[in-house]
Amino acid sequence: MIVDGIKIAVSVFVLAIVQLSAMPQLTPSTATPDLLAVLVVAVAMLRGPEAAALTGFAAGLLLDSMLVGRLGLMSLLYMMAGLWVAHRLSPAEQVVSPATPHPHSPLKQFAYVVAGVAIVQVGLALAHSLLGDSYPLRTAFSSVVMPTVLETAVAALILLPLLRRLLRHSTRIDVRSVSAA
Amino acid sequence: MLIGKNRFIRRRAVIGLLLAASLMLLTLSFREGSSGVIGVIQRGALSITAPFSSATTRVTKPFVDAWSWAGGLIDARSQNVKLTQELAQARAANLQLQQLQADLDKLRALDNFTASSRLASQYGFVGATVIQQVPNVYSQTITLNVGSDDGVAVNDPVVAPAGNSTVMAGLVGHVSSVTSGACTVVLILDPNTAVSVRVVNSTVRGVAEPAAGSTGQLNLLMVGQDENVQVGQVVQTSGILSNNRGLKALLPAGIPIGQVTSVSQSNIDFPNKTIQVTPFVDLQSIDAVLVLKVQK
Repeated sequence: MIVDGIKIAVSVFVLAIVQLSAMPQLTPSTATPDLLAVLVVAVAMLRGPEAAALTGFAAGLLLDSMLVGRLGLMSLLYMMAGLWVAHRLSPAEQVVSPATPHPHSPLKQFAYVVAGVAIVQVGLALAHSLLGDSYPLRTAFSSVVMPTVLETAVAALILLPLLRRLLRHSTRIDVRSVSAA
Repeated sequence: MLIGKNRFIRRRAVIGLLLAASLMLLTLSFREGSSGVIGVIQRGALSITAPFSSATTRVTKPFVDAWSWAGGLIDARSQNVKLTQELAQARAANLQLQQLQADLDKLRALDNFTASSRLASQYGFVGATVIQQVPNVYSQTITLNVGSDDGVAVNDPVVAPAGNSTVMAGLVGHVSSVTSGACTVVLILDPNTAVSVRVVNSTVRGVAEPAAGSTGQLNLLMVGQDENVQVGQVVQTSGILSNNRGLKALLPAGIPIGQVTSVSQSNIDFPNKTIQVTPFVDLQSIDAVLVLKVQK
């Protein structure tokens, strides 16, 4: 559990640094792939809602701190995306068990990553619009939301298998079946 | 079952606390901006992550440079195609401009001729464009887009811009037939044409005929061996009758024809000099001309 936490914490830190330092120079558009959203969704799929919420909160907090933005906004959005994905994929109560094989196909996981990133980006655009930031919503969708989702989808093709490999030592099983046994 | 319930409650509590913390931070962030606790947190995070960011930037720089270089190559290729197209367009536009400039120069020369020529002011004139040209050994004629409706009559002289700077226009020929909207002009290089001429700044007179052996040249005939003619002298229409050959001077005096390019008197037994005259007008490429309405 502790090792798992350390792995996720290091991943949050490394991906935040890469997302803000390296990605802007490697991407052709003004948008950059949201690597932290991929991590949050991966944790949600592999570790459940509690870990996803913690990861989302930490990732958002770090990102907002590094960007000197509205502290708490990205945390909320990451948590929302992580909780939504975790709720969709594991509606039942679950616990961590090291031996159970992974239940979801890579394609399904990829689809959830894209959906999770879309939730974060659309939520961010709406939040900025509601908060009165002078960035037209239509422009935000065409120049930020869409490119970010697309670039993140491309990045997820590489990042998601790595994260699956990093977090593969334990998966979830239904707690009710354990209780019944 | 109890373990599951406790875990469920703990999970809800953790998520609720995190959501509440996020909202609280967001509220504080709006209230305090970059000062206070929020500012401290952000500055702390920045000071911790800045060295790592700097190291990451340094590590990824070769990859970024390689990426930029590859992107630059793609851009350079597409830019090359675009610039090649633009160059072709610019060349075409340049050719067009050069043609327009040449046309403008010719028209300007004609304009200067009409402004300064005594003949133009005396007889009046009409501008015309060559619509047909039949330059061959047997016939040297052109067709103009003006006719009797424009006041053009048979035997009117036709002049065109001269390439020479000393004269603005030179004789092209004379009108041989006219319709209401067009006319045919016999060029001075036509084998059946002869023009009575005189050498400017002298008393030398003669007849200019096409040189049989030299395309585009005129021979100045009937100039005696004792006459003084120099290379470079200008030849113009004399406007008088030439009784020796029975030719009637159809053209008025003073229209520039050409320049003396060679004078030969090697055969002293022959009564006349052999003088060659090069016309001022390039008769192979005429497009804009003036018809002097002398027969009006």
